[in-house]
Amino acid sequence: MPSADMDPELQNRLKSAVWYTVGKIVDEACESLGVNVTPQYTAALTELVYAQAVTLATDIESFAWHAKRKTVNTDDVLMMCRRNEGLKDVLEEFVEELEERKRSAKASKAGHN
Amino acid sequence: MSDSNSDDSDSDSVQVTFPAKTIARLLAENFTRPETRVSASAVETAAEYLRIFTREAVWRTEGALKAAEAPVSASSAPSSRARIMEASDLEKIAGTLVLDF
Repeated sequence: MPSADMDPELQNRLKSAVWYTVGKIVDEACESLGVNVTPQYTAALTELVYAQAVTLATDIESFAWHAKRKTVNTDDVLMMCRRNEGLKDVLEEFVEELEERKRSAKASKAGHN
Repeated sequence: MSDSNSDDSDSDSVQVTFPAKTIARLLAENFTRPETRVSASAVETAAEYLRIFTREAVWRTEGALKAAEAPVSASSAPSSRARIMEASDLEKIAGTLVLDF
């Protein structure tokens, strides 16, 4: 569901930002795989990733509201992977590391003050 | 349940990922209710989800291409070394990729 109500100018800017990062991730993956892609490939992948991001937004919002919250948290994003065990494991690990980093940042800050 | 640490965490430098600012804006613009907020950690996790999605797309395209090439190159002369993936190659795996995410 592309957001028809979004300002097209803003949508273009966001898509350019997504395209830039998609390009970098693609380059990285291509290097390890020993392949190349056409610019059209990256453009098509950008559209796919953008569409996925729009779906992600509406899904995580629904999960949060279903849990009677108005603020989306990491659990809502993890809910996206409920049908993919491997992806769930990887993303759960990411969240754990994220929380660990935040805890130690807080601890070192408290130690210095 | 398999331990797959070798996958991501051992890559030397910082992983390229989507900027939090971009993802935060993208999410906010697509929420349907004006009261919806999102935590900073959720934004970072969303960026990671999209990074994995993007990388997986490239890997699957390459896998499908390799699988399609194998029987041909076994019977005929091997084609050129450098494989170039095109938008049409992405289209072939896009459906199942989206289903799996």
